[in-house]
Amino acid sequence: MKPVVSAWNWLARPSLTFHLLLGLVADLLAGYFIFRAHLQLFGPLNRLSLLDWIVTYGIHNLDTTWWFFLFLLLLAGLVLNTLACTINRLAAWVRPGRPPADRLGHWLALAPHLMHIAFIIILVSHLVNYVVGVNDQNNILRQGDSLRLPGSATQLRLERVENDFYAGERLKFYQNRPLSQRVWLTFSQADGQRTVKAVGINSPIWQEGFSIHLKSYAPDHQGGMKRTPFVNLIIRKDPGIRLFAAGTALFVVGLLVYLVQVLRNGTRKDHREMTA
Amino acid sequence: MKQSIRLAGVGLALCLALVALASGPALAAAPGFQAIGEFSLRGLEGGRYEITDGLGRVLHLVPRGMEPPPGVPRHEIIPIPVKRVVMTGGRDVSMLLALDSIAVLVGVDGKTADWKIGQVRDGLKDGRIVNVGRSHSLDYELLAALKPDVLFTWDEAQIPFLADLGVPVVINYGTEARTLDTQINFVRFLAPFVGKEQMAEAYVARVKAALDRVAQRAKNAPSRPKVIWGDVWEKRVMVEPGQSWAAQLVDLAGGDYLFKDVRGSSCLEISLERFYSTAKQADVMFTYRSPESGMASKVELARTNPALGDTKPLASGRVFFPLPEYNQSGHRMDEVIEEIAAILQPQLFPERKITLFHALPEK
Amino acid sequence: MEVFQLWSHHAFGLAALAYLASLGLTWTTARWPAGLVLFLGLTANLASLGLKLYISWPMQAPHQEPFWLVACLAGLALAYWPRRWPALGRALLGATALLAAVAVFFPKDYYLPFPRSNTILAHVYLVFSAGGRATLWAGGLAAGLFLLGGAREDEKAARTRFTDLHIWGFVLYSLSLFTAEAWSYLGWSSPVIWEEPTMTTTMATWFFYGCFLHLYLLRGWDARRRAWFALAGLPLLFYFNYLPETGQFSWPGWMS
Repeated sequence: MKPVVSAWNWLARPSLTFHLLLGLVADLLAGYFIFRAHLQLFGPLNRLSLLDWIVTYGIHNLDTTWWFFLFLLLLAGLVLNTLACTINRLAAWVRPGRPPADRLGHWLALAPHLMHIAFIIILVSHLVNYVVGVNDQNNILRQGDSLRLPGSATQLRLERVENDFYAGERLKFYQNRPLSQRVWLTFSQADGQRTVKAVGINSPIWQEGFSIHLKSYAPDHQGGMKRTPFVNLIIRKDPGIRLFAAGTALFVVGLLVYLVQVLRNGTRKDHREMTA
Repeated sequence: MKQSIRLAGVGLALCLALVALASGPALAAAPGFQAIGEFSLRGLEGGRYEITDGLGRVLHLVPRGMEPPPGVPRHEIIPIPVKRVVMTGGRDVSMLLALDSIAVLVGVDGKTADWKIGQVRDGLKDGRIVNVGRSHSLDYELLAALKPDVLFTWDEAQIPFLADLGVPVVINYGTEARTLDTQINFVRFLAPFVGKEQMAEAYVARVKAALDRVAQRAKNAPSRPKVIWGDVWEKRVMVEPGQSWAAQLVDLAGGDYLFKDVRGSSCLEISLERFYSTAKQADVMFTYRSPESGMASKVELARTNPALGDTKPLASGRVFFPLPEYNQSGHRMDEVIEEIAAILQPQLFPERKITLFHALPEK
Repeated sequence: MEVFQLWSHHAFGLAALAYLASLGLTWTTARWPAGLVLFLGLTANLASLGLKLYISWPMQAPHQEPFWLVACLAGLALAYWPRRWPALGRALLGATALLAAVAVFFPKDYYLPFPRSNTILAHVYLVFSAGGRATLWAGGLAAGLFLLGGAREDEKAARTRFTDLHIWGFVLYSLSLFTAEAWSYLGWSSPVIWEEPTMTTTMATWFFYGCFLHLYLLRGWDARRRAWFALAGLPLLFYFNYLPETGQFSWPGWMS
C-alpha cells in the first residue's frame, strides 16, 4: 500500500504541475515554429480521427510531428497530476473538523478545484471527440439530392438555398456577396416524421445527435462566373461536445468564483499566501 | 531544471513507444505515405493506393482486375492504370506530358484555340479528345458518353453529377495556393494513376536541378528587383500569396517578392491600400490580366483602377503577363524557372529567350 | 483609396504619436499634461477602431488585435496615471507607445473580412483577448517595478497588484479562449481547428500564466522569484502573441 500512496502523492505534487506546465510551454513554442513551416501536415487533424492522423501524417513525419506527440503526453500527465492533486485537496476540504469561521470563504475556496475538474472534463471531451466521434466531411448535394445520416435511417434532403445579398455601399469588398444564407434541409425519419431546418455559415443545426455544418456552397455571389448550385455539408457526431460545453461552463463558474474570492480576500489568508 | 529535462526525455521516449505500439498494425499495412501539400498518397498492398484529393476526400486506386475494397461506392474507386481521363485546367493536363501519358486524355475544358499543347489540339481536331465545356459548367451528356475512368477538376459541384454516372472525381485544387514544393511533387500524386512513378521521379530531379542551377546563378545578382504578382480590377485587387509557387520562384530567381507575408489561396483578394503601398515600391509586376482578357497596355490597366496609376510598375516599371502557354507548361517547369530568372536578372541569364511571358506595352 | 480606411489609419497614427508625446510628458513636473495627451491618444485610438468596425461590420477583418491591445493598454495606463501608481502608468505608456509604433509600421490588417467572422463571438473574442493580454502586460510590468523596488510604492501593495493583475489577465484570457472555441465550433464544426500556428502560442501563453498562478504553492517561490517569472512572460507576450499579429515593414499611407 505504501508504494501506491507515495506514487499517488508524487503524482499530486505541485512541483510536478510546475514541470509539466513549463514542459507544455516549451513544447508548444517549439511546435509553433514547426507548425508554421508545415501547416499542411497538421490541417488534416480537422478531418481525420486522431488514430488515422497518427498512422499517416503523424508517424510518417516524426521529424516535424514529434512535438505534437510530446504535447499529448504532457497533457495526459497534466490531467493525472490535476486529478490527483484535486482529489487530495478536496479530501482535505471535506474533512470534518471545526466549522470554519468564514463559511463563505470556505466555499469560495472551491474555485480552483472547480477549474481543475473543468479542465479535466474539457480535455477528456476533446479526446472523446477525436477518438470516437463521427466526422463526415464533404457531403456534397444538389438541390433535391438526399443522403442518409451515418448509421441512421434518417434521410436528409436539400430543398433550396436562400441568400441575403449585401446591396449597400459601406462594405464595398462585399458587394454581391451574401451576409447570411439559409440552406433548407428536410429530415425524413424512418417513422415518416419530417422536419425542416435551415443551416448557414456559423449556424449549424442538430438532428438526432448529429450536428450539421455548412462548409461551402454555391451560388454564393451574384453575377460573375455562374457556378453549378451545390452545398457541401459537414456531418458530425461529437459524443464529447455536451461534456465540453459543461466543462467550459464549469470553468467559467470557477473563474468567476475565483475572482470573487480574490476581490473579497484582499486581506485574507489565501490571498496573503498568494501575494506573500 | 535537471528534473524537467529528465521528465521531458522520459516523456518523449514513452510517447514514441506508445505511438509505435498503437500504430504498429496500421503501419504494417501502410508502407508508404506521402503528404504532397493538401494531397496525399498512401501505398497499400497489391499495388493499391489510397489518395486524398484537394478537398480532403479519400479515393481508392485499384489495379485493374483486383477486387475493390468492400463497402466503397463505385465513384470512389479508380481503376489503374487509367485509360480514359477527363481533366480541366491546363497546368495539370500538361503534367501528363511529363509522365508521357497524354494519350489517356479523352476530355478537356475549352476550345481547340485555347490549347497550346500540340497533342491536345490535334486530339480535339480529330475527335480523340472532346471539349466537355467550361470547367464550371461541364456537359454531362458528353461526359457520360466518354465513360472516363476519372475526372480531374477544381469544382466540387461536379462531384454529385459524376457520382450519378459512376465516375470518380479528383479535386485538384486545395484551399491554399500550392507551394513550389507541392507544385513540383504533384507529379508524384499523378504518377500512380498512370503507373509512371519512375518518370515522376525523373521529372522531380530535373526540375530540382534547374532550381538549384538558377538559384546558384541568381545568388550573384548585383541587386534584387522588387516584384509583385497580382491582378488589378476596378474595385478589387488580388495577389499571389507569399507561399505560392509563383512567389517562391520569384525569390529563388533573384527577385524580392513583396507580398511574402501574405498567406492564403491563389489570387487572394487583399485591401486596396496594402496593394497600393506595396506596388509603389515594386520594380516589376506580373499580372494574369493580358490582352486576351481585354487588358492591352499599362495605360489601360491604370485606367481600370486609377488609384493605382501612379504605382511604380505602371508608371515607370515593367509589367509582364503570362502567355497562354504558361498555364499549360507544367511539364516545362524548369523553363518557367529560367524564364522568370531571365526577366528578373537579364544580365545573368542572357542566353534565355522569353517564350512564356510578354511585357505589357506602355500604350 | 477607401476614405474610411484611410482615416482609420490616420487616427491610429495620431494615437501612436499622442502616446509617444504623453510618455515624454510624464517626465515633466505637472502630471496632468501627460494624462490629457494620453486621453486624447486613447480617443483617437478608439475612433480608429470605430472606423475599422464601420467598414467591416457585422464582420471583422483578421489581425486587428494590435490596435485593440494598444487601446486596452492605454486604458490601463490612464487608470494608473497619475494617481494610483504613476510608475506603472509610465511603464504602461512605454509599452503602449512601443506597441502602437510597431502596429503603425508593421500592419497586417490587409486581409479582408471573411464570412465566418460574421458573428458576435468574433468581436467578443477580440475584446476579451486584447483585454486579457493587455492586463497580463500590465502584470508583467508591475512585477518588473516590484523587482526594481516598488518604484517608491509600498512594497506590499506592489506585490498584491502584480498578482491581482495576473489573475484578472488570466480570467479575461481564459474567457477569450472559450469564446474562440465556441466560434470555432459554430463556424468550422470543431472547438479546435488546426489552421493557425498561433493556436500553439495561445495555448503556451495560457499554460505559462496557469503555471504562474500555481507558483505560490511551491516551496522557495517567494514574491521576488514569482516576479521574475512574471517578467519572463513579457517576451512571451511580445514575441509569440504580438508579433505574429503584425506584418512586414511598410510606411503608413500618410508617410509614403
